[in-house]
Amino acid sequence: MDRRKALMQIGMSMGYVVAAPTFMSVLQSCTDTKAAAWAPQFLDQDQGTVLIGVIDSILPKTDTLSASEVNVHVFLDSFANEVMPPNQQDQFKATLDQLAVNALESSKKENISDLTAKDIAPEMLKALIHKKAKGVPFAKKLRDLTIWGYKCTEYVGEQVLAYDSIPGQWIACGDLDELTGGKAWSI
Amino acid sequence: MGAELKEAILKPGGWTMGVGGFGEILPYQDNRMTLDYDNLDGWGLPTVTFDAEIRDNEFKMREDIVVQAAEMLKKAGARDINTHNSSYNIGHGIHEMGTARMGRDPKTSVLNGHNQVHEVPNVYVTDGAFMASSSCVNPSLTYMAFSARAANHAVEELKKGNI
Repeated sequence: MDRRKALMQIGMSMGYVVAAPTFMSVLQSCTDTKAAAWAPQFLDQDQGTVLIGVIDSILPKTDTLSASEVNVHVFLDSFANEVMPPNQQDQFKATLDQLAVNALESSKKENISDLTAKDIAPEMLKALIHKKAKGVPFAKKLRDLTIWGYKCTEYVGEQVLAYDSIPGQWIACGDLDELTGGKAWSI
Repeated sequence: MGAELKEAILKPGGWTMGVGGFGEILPYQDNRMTLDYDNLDGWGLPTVTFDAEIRDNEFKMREDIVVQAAEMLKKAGARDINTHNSSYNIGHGIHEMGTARMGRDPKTSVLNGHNQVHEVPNVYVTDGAFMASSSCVNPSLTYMAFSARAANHAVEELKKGNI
C-alpha cells in the first residue's frame, strides 16, 4: 500500500471533520440570511430552492429548528463549492435537478420556485428508498451531509445535544437519562 | 427521513469496544534480509528481500491472546463477546526490528554498542534495525533514546578525530 497516499487520505477526511464547525461558525454570524434572500454561490437559484426543500424534508421543524433554519443549505452550498471533488459536485447538482423534475410532475406545479418541502419530501424519500431510482446518485450522500451539517451547528451542538464547554470528567458507569437527559453528546 | 430521523440522530446509538493484543516476535537467527540486484528501485539501487515468518511461539501466543482478552472482557462485565484471530504478515505490525543487529563481534553483528557500523565507523544506524526484537510496546521512544546516545557518541568521536 502507498503509505503516503493513505496518510493523505486520512488527513483529508480529518480536514472535512475539522472544517465543518469552522464553516458553520462563519455562516452563523450572518443569521439574517432568509431562504428567500439567499443567493447560492455554487448552485443556481432553482437548485437552491430544491436544496432547502430537501434538507427540510430530511430534518423538518419539530420542537427543534429545521435544517434550513440553522442554514444547513448555506453550508452545503459553500461546502460543495470549496471542498467537493468535481464528480461529487456534478452528482450533487444532477440530483437536485432530477428531484425538481420529479416534484414538479407529482405536484402539478409549473415553477421550481413554488416547490415546498412538502412537494419535495415524497420524491426525496423515493430517491432514498428505491435502489434503482434514476438520476439521483447523490441522494444518500445528501442526507448524510445534511445530518452532519445540522449536528455541526452551534445551535444543535450547544442547545439541543448534551454539551459540556469544558469536557473531561469521566463517569465510568451512570444512567444516560440522568447524565444527559437521554441525549447524545455534542461532537 | 423526517421527524423520526431527527429524533434518532440526537440520541446515542449502540456502542462496542474492542481489545487487541501485541506480542513479541522472537529473533530467529535464520531470518534473512538480502539485496536483490536483479530488481532495482527507482534510483538504480537493489531492492530488499525479507525472508522471515512467524512461527510456533508466535502462533501459540496469538491463541493465548484471544483467550486472555475474552476472559478480561468477561470479568469486566462485557456481554456478547466475539473473538477473532486474523492472519498476520511480517511488516503488518510496523514495529518490526532487525537486519542490522547490535553486538560485540563483527562476525555475528553489524553494529557495535553505539549503533555504529563495525566495518564503517562513520556510519550510525539508529532505526529499528539494530534491535533484533522488541517487547510488545511501541519502540519509538527507545529509538529516540538510542539515536540521542549514538549522536552524542558520534560528536565525541569527531572531537577526538576518530571519525
